[in-house]
Amino acid sequence: MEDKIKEIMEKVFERNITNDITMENSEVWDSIAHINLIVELEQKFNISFEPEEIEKMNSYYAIVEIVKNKTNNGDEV
Amino acid sequence: MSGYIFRNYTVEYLFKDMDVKFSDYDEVFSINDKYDYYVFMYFCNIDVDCNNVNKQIQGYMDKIEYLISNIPNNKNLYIFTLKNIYDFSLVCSNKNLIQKINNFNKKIYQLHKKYSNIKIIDFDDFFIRINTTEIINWKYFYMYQMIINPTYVKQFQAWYREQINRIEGKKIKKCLVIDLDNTIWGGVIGEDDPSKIALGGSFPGNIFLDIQKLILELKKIGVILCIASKNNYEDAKKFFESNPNMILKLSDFIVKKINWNEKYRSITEISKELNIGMDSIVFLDDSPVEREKVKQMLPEVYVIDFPESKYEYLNYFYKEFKRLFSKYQLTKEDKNKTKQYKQRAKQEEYKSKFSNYNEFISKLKISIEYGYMNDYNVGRLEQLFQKTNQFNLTTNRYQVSDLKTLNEEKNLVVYVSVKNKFGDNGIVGAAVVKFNNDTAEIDSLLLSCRTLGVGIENIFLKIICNDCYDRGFKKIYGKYIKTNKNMQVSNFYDNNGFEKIEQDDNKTKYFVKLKQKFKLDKEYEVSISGG
Repeated sequence: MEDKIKEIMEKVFERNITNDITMENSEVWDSIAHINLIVELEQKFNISFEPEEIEKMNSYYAIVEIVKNKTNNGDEV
Repeated sequence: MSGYIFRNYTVEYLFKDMDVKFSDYDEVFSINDKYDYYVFMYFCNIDVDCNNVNKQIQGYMDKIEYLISNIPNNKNLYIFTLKNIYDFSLVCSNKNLIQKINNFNKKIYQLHKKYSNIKIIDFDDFFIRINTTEIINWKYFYMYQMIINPTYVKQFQAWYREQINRIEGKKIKKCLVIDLDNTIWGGVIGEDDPSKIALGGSFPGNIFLDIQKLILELKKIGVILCIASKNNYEDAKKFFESNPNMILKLSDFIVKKINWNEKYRSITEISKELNIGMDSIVFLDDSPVEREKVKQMLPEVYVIDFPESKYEYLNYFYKEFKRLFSKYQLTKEDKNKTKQYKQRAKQEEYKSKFSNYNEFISKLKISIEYGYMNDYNVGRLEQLFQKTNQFNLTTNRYQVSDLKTLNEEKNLVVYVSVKNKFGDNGIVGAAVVKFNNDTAEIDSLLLSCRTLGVGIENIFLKIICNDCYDRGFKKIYGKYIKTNKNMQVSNFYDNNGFEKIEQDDNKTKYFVKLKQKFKLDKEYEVSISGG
């Protein structure tokens, strides 16, 4: 699960990332990249985020947590 | 190719990974002319009050007019047609908004007619492709002002690239090779009773009748039709001639390979006889085995799949044909293509009757017109520059905008058109000559392959050189740039008295100094048009 998320983020941002990446500390993670990331995550995991969740998804760890919650605590999807 | 997109909603995600930049929302005044092309992609506002939308549409037109007068006219401006994405109307008979939108679309098509750098992208075509009424994902709409549901990004990108290729005349297929039995009629003519063959009438004959109509439409837009069928030629001929429901006639097909050879062999022969590349050919055959063999043996040929049920054929084939063959606009040459390829075939036959080449040429009564680019022929010239692969010395892929720029810079952009006793071929060749101090350089020279074999290429070169001579340029350079497809012209300059002055792997430079004008062979009648 974590690997897959990281892979998606690296694909959208077109560069390698570290686990401590946040919207604040990253240059590439702008609002357009954010939209692309959310769309990509929804499609790859076949889930739909609520606006409240999307607003919170501004770091790698936050994304992992929210995606895990959505997919029943990280069962294989 | 970098583009600049004027927009009123969030569209960045639709153009992901493409070389494009975006205006601010609703903004058109910051035109930077460093981009190669511009796009106007506006949506009707999603507004419950239709009157607001009505007013905004007039504003879009003002913006477009501003763009037309401020974008350099050698650069394309692609305008998306407006589409009513969501209709909030509560009065069913009130169609004001639809009318406004239709008027807007009508106007932009008029602008396209008036300005050759304005090209229209029909947005409806995309919505037909994705086959949905649920265009908007309301979450993304309210959070990010995105109108088109991001689920459709991949489809949008594929579709958008196709539209641009079509407008620029790139990657369009030229020739459809069809099978006969169970492809354009139901049943097998060599085995079944002729009265049992399904064509016309009720199901399933009505399906095959429509398929024939569709294929005939392809012919009308200049697609070359050919047959590769395993049958006895006489059986097929008899069926074509005797079945009153046949829409297609044998004469609609340029090359007919009706025999028991393998289809890949037939297709290879067709490619040779028509002088067109394998990657210009599309193959239509109901037999999965035949399709697979062609795919294996001739991977460059595009093989159309068949839907499972016959009643899906028309819909499926139309969509495939549209993607593969449709043109942005029709030229005079497109409409006459079949005729011209036929003439070529006839000409080949005629040629074998004469032992003496010159005698043959003079009997053909070839008349050649040489002339200069203008607004009326530039579309055809672009098509030649985009599509000619084989008789093309440098393969520069110029578009209308490039040709106009070249022409304005006092270079020569010239054409040759050809007639013979079998008919009028129209414009078949083009060249660009660049002048520099006292020298001229033939930057591009190309000829459509359907005119080759009668010496047009040599006389065209001579006329170009004479034109340079008359303008005071006696030192003329030429070059050959090798591609995978233009081997046949590798000795073109050598054969015409030019001297090789530089050569590396892919590029050869030539030079000639004219002491006097070339004498033009008396077998041809030559006229020069305009100035």
